[in-house]
Amino acid sequence: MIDIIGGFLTLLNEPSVFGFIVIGVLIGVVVGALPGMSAAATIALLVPITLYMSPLTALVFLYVLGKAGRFGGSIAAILFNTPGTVASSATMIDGYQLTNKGRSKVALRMSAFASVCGDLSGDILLIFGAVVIASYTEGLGPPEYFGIYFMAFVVIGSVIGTSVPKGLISAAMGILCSLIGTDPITGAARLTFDSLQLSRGLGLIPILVGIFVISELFEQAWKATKPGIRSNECDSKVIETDRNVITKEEWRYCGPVIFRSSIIGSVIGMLPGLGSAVACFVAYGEEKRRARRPQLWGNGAIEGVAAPEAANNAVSGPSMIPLLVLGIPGSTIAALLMGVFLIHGIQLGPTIFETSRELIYALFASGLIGIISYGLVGYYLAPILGYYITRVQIKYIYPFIFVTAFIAAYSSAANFFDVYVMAFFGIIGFLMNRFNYSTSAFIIAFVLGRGAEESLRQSVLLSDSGFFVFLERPVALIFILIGLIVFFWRGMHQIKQKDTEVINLH
Amino acid sequence: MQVRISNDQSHIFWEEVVFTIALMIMGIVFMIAAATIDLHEDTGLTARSLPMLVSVIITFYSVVKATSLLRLAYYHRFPMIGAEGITVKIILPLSLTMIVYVSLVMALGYAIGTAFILMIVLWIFNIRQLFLNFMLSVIVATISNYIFVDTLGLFMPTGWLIESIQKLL
Repeated sequence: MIDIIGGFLTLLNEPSVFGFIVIGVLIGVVVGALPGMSAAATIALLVPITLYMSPLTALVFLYVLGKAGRFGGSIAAILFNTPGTVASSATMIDGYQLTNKGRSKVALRMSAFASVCGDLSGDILLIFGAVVIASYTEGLGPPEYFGIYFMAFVVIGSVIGTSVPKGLISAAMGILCSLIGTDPITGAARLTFDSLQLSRGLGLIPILVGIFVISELFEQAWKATKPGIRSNECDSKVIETDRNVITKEEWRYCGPVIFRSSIIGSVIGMLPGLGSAVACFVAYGEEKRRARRPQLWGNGAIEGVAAPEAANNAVSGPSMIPLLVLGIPGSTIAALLMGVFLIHGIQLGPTIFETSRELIYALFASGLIGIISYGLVGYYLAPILGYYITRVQIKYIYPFIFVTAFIAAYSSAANFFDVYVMAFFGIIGFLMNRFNYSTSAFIIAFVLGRGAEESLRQSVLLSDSGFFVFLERPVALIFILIGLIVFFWRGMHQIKQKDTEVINLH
Repeated sequence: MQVRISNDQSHIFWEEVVFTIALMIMGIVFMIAAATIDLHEDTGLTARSLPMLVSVIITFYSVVKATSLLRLAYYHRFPMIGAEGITVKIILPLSLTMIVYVSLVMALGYAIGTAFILMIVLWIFNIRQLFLNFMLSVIVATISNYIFVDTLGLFMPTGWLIESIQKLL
């Protein structure tokens, strides 16, 4: 508790941070609400700009942007029946029905309130849980770390996306790209094809910008050239009625729903790879099953907005736990933030609460301020934002993002080679999205690949029993087994599904 | 197992076949590259072990996937791949990004090169009123030039064409 108060005091010493919280919230809400834009893409684009900021300002800005972006997705889902983010897909079901009934303001306000409650509960878990988990992970050695990396690769590869093999191959591609450069133990050049540029390894920023930004631009350009396929332009039917206030009865129905969904989201958030998209559907399904007014679900139940919004925002805080205490990102945004930590020379892992205590608690404190800020923006300004967003044609914005992406890739290391890397991975990202390969699994595996290799080789080098070291270390073995169990469970589930379903390639 | 792929989806199917074959070639290339890595010391797990293992997995997967896709194609007699799909959707954006933009910037300098590429991209995005297209491109290129080149000091060449014209004058 004292630490978090210390975090607020640290923020007071650097007042400019508050300005960046507000900017982060506004950008996050707007990009989240714009269909076809994502918080991850925006963060990838903004990472090079944060190189010029202090580590605290950079992290706070992007962390808050990610949080606000998650909430912003619900605005598009409720008003336009188009989820701004995948995590808002469940909100769309009842949210848009409420808009059709002229109750969009109610849906937006409930969405803001539920998001704040969910996010706060997730952050409380992060603030108090991360230190406890970190104290248990301090004694972990290379074999245990490899066990965790192995579990992360397999779980993320198997769980993200629709196909287990494609998810795992996406992760394998990420690992392969991370291996390009110099061998960490012997210093030998690997997979460089005698290129000096490649011997330094592939930069994180050009790959992030390519995979998340350029690929999206290609996707939109493809849609624009294809007759009959609508790009992300919105039709608004915001009709106001006099029933645009949340009634006492609705508050009473939604209270327990928000509470339960926040817990569901927080728990799912701690597991690597599952993320807010899974959390929102699990919470929606669970609350629909327990519903006191089941006839309303799917036809504009306010609880149908509260449940997914509380759950998907509750994921935000806990997804930072594996990142902070183990250096393993549990989500795409966490992987992007990991890049920011590394760029600013902050070592992630169990000792982070000793080496960068002030910064971490200041980051937590800024998260709490960010939540309240986007809550206020959402509660009071979401209807107005929605009104203006209907007038923005995203096609006017894409060309400028296109140019900025080049600048972002170039300025990360003032090297034109990075621009080529970005363009190449833009195409790779576009193709991966098109054929249902997971770009998130690719990026997370790319970020983790080096660490995994180092811990694997250190484990084998330092042990007399070679690969059997993993059988001798129970913690490592448990993590490896968890990974294998998840893989087989998902694999079996998919084989069963394939037996019955009609294969639809797209 | 019932399989149904409609005719309008068959081009997507063929694109996936091409992608999978490309993945297979990439896997093989990386396998060869991994085989050339120095062994240094034999500790049981060398610098080449992991790259080799991962590229073998990718190659194996893509061979199996490509084979199953081609078998499916054979049974369903899909039409051959159209040049339109790959050319318009992949090669065109690639050319724009890699060749046109870089060449324009090298020839005309940052500001004019950016303005040109913006005009082209805006055209692709269906903003085809000439005046609007031109004005948007010029305004944004000017702002970008001011922020990134003049203020942040991003190094950009003047452009060989502009330099040549300057010399002539």
